[in-house]
Amino acid sequence: MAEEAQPPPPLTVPRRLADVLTNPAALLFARLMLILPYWVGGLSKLFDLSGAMGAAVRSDLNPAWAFVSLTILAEIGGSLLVIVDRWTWLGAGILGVLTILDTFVVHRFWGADGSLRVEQLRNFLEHIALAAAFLLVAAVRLAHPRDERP
Amino acid sequence: MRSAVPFEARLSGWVRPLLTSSIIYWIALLGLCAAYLQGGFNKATNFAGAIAEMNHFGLAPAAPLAAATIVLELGASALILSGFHRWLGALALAGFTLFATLLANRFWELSGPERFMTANAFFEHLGLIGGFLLVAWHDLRERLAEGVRR
Repeated sequence: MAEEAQPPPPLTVPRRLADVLTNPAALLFARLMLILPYWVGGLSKLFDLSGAMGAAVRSDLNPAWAFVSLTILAEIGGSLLVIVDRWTWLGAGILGVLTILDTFVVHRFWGADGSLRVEQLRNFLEHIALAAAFLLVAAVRLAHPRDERP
Repeated sequence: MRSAVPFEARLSGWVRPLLTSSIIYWIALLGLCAAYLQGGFNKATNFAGAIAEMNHFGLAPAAPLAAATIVLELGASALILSGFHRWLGALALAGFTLFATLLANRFWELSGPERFMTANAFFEHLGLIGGFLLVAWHDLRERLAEGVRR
């Protein structure tokens, strides 16, 4: 394709928009948005440990302290890796797996009924979407060479 | 020779073929869109419920807006999954998600456990927006690199 003499057909994307969106800073912004729920989740658990322990006990997670500390570690550690862009795929993988596990513990739509079922199905799918986004983070970082680092 | 390759590079070389395959990428896109496909489908099959939801949020005229939401959710998902102007579909769902969460997840107006749940949902939606921005970033990058209309 690159060897053809004729000029490439015009882009259908508005040029200025494309420039803004393909900026390395835009990628950083996207990653920042994506890890926001995990920052908030990890830090709020850290500042309210007893509340987090209570929630773990209610979800039948024993021993609660182990689940809570592992979750905080995964949320903050995974987010850090994704943001500083070192071992990005690993950080994204940690957050993705955490999201899937969380979904299967907290949003079991198949065990709920009535309007709660619809609500839980939506939550479940939103978590699947977040996990999928982490898969994309890993894929995009692995597919693009290092010199595109922001 | 082998020891000269950094540990991270060796490990990521191992996961790269898996994570950058186009099938995995498409499955991730499907995961990202699943909640919107379900939302659009749900509203389409229960249009009265969709109108009630619009009224609940004080959006008028309810019926046209409900219809527009269905078209947006299903249409943008179709753009993303088909790859036809994928970036446009991704930006549309990012904008829609931002609007929806600013409307439906106003945690700052609540208190107690409800505030906590709603704040969670709010930040999760911001995370989803990050995922869509990532899709747009990747798609536009590829388009600019290829310089072709798709």
